[in-house]
Amino acid sequence: MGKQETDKDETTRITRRGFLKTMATIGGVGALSTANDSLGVEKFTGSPDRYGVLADLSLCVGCRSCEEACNEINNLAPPEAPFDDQSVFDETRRPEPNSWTPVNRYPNPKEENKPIFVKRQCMHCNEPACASVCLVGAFTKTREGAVIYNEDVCIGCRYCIAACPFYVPAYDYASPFYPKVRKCILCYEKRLAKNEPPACVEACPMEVMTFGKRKDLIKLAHKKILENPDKYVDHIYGEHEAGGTSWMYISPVPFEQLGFVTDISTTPYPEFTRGFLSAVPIVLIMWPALLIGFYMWSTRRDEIAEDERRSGHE
Amino acid sequence: MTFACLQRGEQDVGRHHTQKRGDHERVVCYHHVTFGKEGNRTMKWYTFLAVGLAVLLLGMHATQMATSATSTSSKGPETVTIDSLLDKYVPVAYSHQYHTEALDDCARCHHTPPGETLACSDCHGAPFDPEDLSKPGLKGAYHRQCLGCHRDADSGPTGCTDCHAKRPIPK
Repeated sequence: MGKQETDKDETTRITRRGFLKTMATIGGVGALSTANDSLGVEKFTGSPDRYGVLADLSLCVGCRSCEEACNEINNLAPPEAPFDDQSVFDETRRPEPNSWTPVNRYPNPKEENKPIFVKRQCMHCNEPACASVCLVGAFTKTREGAVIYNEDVCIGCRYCIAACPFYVPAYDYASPFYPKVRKCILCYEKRLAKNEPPACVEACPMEVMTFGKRKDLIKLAHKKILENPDKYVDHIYGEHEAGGTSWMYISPVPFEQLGFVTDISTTPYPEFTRGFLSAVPIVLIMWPALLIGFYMWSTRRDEIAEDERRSGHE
Repeated sequence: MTFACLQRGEQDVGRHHTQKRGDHERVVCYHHVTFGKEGNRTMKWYTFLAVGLAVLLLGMHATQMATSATSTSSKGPETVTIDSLLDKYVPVAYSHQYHTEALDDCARCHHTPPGETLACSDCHGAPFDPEDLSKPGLKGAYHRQCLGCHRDADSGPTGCTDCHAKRPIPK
């Protein structure tokens, strides 16, 4: 009886100690990996020399040369109406599979005869939400600043479309057999990778858009606003929106009046899911271990109870 | 920067200028144009020649101005033909004379440097110069100048094809 009890105690003690040890190790490893992940991500500031584009909305005259240049360089399907047709401005357009950069017209409360034209396209976020949600990792934020994607690995889940804070990616619904996600890629392979401005930027007769290093463009935008406080709204759209974007705007009219999404926080979108997603591996390790531990503990308890019951009977 | 003249042991009088044009940097030395002790001796006959030529040219110019009342040579060219983007548009014949007469102020367009009348292309070239991103390229400068003024004054062409007639598509 005495020997049996000692054995029992030892077995229990060893099991408990082992269990606690295992838990501590798992916890420690988990904590360490979380710390490493967040450390790596928080310190990411992007390539310091990445390019950007600054669009000055006070200059655009709505000639649609940018749309035409985009269509040509990307071999997109020809539009229903020709590019010199101004009637397209009667309705607000969004990026489409065959129109990656539509221009929209908005009234100018300051000067009625000078409506504001806004060219829309991918904003090329510093930390793109589309890239963080993509199941197959099709999206890449390049060193040069463009957010590009590999359409060959796309499985068509369209998470990127749902995730984009700027409502940019468009889905090729018209293509029944091989639909793709389509959006502006800043003319990455054909121009940006060769340090050349995107086709739309180069085509613009008014040079509405300035191409350069993002950090220099921010300085230029601040300078313009500072020197012309009556002309511009004191805000650079894209400097901080969704953690900052490579494409930026300055405007004489408040951005909320020009169809811009203005209820975006300055937090990069991947940040919103980072806490949850980085917890997943730990939960996946901890949870089974915890359940096994509970199971072992309760089984052992039942065994002890059963032993005691038997010895009591004897 | 080393100058040949300085290497010869001559005194630097601060008359070296670097001229930048595109990728090339040219060093201009005004060392030997100084009117110092040596300068007086060597430059005398040059000076006379230069002054004489200048007087002759000015005289000829004044005579020409007096005889031809319609000449606008002091006001720049009559017409400037802008012939880039020829694949899409026919060249634009910009009436410089009309604008000089209508505005009567060269500085309205020839805005910098003050008091000088430089051609647009003397300052504006390729766009997006990393050294000065705020300076538009030649295309941007033209369009901003023309359209800006025409829209502000609510007069003059503002549509693309008002100035740029579309080139007919070859059949």
